[in-house]
Amino acid sequence: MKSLKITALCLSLIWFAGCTTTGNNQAGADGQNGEVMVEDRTGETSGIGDENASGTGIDGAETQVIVGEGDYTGDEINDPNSPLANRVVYFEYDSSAVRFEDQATLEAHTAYLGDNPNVTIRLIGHTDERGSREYNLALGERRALSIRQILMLQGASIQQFQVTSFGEERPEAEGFDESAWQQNRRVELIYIGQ
Amino acid sequence: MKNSLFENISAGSFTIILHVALFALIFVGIDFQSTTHVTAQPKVDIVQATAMDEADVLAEMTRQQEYEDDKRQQEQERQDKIDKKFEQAEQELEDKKQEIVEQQQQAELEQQQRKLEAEQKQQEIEVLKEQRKIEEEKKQQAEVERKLEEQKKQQAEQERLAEEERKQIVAEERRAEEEKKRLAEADRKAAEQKKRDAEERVRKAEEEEKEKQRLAKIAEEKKKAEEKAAHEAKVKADREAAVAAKLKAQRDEAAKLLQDSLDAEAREQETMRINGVVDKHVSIIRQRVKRYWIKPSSAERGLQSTLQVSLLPSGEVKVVKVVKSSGNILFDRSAENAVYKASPLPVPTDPKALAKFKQFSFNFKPE
Amino acid sequence: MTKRWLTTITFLGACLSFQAQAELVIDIVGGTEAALPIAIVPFGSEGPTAPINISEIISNDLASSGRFDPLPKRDLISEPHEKSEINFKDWRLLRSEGLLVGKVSTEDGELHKVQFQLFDVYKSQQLAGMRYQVPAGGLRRLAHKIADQVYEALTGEVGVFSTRLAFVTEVKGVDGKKRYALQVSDADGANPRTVLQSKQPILSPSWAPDGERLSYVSFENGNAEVFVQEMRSGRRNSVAAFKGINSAPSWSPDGTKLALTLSKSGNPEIYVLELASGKLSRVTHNSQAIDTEAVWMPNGKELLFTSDRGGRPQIYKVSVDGGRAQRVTFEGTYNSSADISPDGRTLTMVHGFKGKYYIAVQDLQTGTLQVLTETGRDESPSFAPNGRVILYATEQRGKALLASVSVDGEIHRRFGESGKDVREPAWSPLRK
Repeated sequence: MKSLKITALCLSLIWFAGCTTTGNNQAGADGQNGEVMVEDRTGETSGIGDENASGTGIDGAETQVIVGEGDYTGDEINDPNSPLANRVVYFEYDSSAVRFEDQATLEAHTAYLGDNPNVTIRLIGHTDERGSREYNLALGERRALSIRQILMLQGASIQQFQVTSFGEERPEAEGFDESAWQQNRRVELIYIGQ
Repeated sequence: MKNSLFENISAGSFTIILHVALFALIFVGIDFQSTTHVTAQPKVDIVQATAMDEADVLAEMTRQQEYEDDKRQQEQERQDKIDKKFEQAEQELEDKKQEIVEQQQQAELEQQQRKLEAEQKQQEIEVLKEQRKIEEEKKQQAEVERKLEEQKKQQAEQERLAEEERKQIVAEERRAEEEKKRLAEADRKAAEQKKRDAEERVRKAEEEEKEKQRLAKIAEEKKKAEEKAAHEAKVKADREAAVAAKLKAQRDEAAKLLQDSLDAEAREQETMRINGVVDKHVSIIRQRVKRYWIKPSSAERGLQSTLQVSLLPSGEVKVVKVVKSSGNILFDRSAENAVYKASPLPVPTDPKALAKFKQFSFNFKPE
Repeated sequence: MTKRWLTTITFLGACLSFQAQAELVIDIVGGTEAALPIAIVPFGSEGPTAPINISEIISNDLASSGRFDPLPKRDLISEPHEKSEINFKDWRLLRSEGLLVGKVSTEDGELHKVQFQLFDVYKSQQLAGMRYQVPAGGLRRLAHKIADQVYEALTGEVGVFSTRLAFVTEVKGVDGKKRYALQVSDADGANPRTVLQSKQPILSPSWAPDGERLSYVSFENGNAEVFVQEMRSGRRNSVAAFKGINSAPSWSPDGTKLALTLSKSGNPEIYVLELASGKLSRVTHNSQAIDTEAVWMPNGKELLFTSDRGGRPQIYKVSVDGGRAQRVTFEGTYNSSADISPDGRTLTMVHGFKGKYYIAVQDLQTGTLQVLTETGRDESPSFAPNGRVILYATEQRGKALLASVSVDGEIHRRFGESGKDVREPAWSPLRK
């Protein structure tokens, strides 16, 4: 128990460091600095639709912007033998119900989160590629939220969770068959600051 | 200048009116273009944009004038210019058209043939009926003749009997002569019996007189019989002639009726034939124009354009005029274009049928 | 000729009785719905050769619409460049519905004078014609613009060749990581240029009605977030970055508001964001269901959206002021990604049926549904601004690409493969 607390302390320290990175990412949100790069191509943006087309053209009316260069990353708990090492749960098609075989994994995480109120976890929901991307984005969130609901059963607080959905945008397996789809319908559990 | 212009006006006012109309048409067209597109223009990346204008109008006028002047010559040239490809296409079309026409004519011919055959059969039956009737009459005639023959036979029998009687009389005469000769012999042998002889002579004279009278009577009867026979023969001949005349009249009348109905039939068939040809060509033309008609997608149910079309005898479209607009300019234009594109229209070669296609109308409906 | 006429006159004399009869009337009912044949003569050229072939672009544009059938070059009888050079009788033989001629001239190779004229060959009448002066860089755009004018003159409908397409591309970099780009191209897919590049997914581009701004979803900050970007300056703002997902932007017809999907309440709901004030109003209130993919009806008063409140995703309609939503689609077990035609009459959507996804249209008055595509892997339909064509994303041999289909399902087209995965298309409004 003592060693666990030490681990937790270490974790929170690392988590704090991680926060700095996250902060950087968030700084990019207002689109003014950080990772967002806006290419200034004003030389090409004038001209379209202008009465005196002094600019070079019509085709450069839009400006190129580059963003999101910073990778999204997460950490792991360093015990490969614990059920906690399992960080992914899978779902049936268009369903957010937890499968029987994932229950043990989720119980372990539920207990761990209840015991470690300072630990924060990020739940990332995913879907397979079938159907509308926007609907899948919502469906991925619904899956992540259903996992959160389970993980809160042993005393974890809502502040310990970050819920994200990528919908079908980040498939684990490329492919157009059930075996690929099956691997893509998932929620990833990522402990932050570990 | 003014004078010559005036002369021109008086000499060719029609041409000038035409040109003015043309100018107005072009001017309106250009005006339309300039208003619609110029307003849209400032939003575009264009330094300068102008609608096509005066220069075109002038060029157009000049060109139109030349066009009018050299019309005939140009027409000739254009004829020559026609691409082989199109000639081929036209030829193929013409062939196809001809084929269809021939097939139809063949079908019509066959139909008419069948009809004619049926009618001929009917006529034959009629003739046969007539013949039967005539035969029946002939039979009756024969019966009359047979009866006459019988009468004649009876007459002949009577005559034969009369002849026999006459022969008997002759034989008796001969016998009387011999008796006289014998008596004269007896006179020569016995002169004494003069008285008896005289008496005998008186008696004989009386007998002779009697005989004479009897003979005369026989001759008279014979003559009467002969006269009667002659009369009867004449009556018979007259009757025969009457029957023959009647038969002939009947035959003539039947023949005349037949001829009359044939003539009416022919007239009716000619009208039907022409209508048939017209109908066939209407159907072919309809198919062809329909094939060339590309309906605009804005063609909604209920639209209708009526076009009046004038054709050259070759079927070439001379003029297309919208006489009743659908209210949708694109729809009207699509209909006009369809007729122009279908030119030449497959018109019949038969002059009577062709006349129907000199000027006619199309009703275009989307459905 | 004279002889023919003499014969005819004789005929007519003989047939006066027929003349007296009623005039012949032939009914033509139906007709075809074929592509309009059009003769496009290669434009004449003076001075240095123009960098692009204007008449070829026009020809390709018109052909691609499926509504025109440009005559093959070898059939062109002659090559006139203006009216005085046209012998209309010759062109009539080609049976085209229009004849387009024009010319390009330049002295310095930079400023180009371009003129075009479109004629009705049967009536020898000009249907459209303009003269322009443009820099070399504007020639392609001008070609599309001329194509629009020809299209409009002959079909009576607005041409969309000078509009643009927005779409998202995905490529795997040499480092094995994916890169995403939001691109804009000409309406024919040519001339693509990148307006946004990111290592994180980009989704759901939506054009502002003025065609000057794009809204889209970017994951660049680890979460789905809605941005608005100005096309000319490249200036961009995050307009929705709440907790949860921020997605599915759609511009109101007046360009002042965005409909959005936000799950900040804990469940995806439809909101309307007033851009100037930042004022947010919630439209849907169904905490059990996914409500997303709102799109504005042209009247600006109602929204169509996807919801699984009935168990499976279907399209619903709701007033922007909220209130009760009304179900619109009933056929099939999966209907999503609605887009509405500019006249508000036709709905297009992804129609799922037995695990396959097709593009379908539904007549909003009659409710009749028509499936337009066949691959079964189609998504993201977007109406062209004239409502004639639907652009969508599909897949072919594992590659995502764009395709289009006419609203009647007759004309199918695929856009050139670029070696990238291309998806999430959005057709721009008409340029004003």
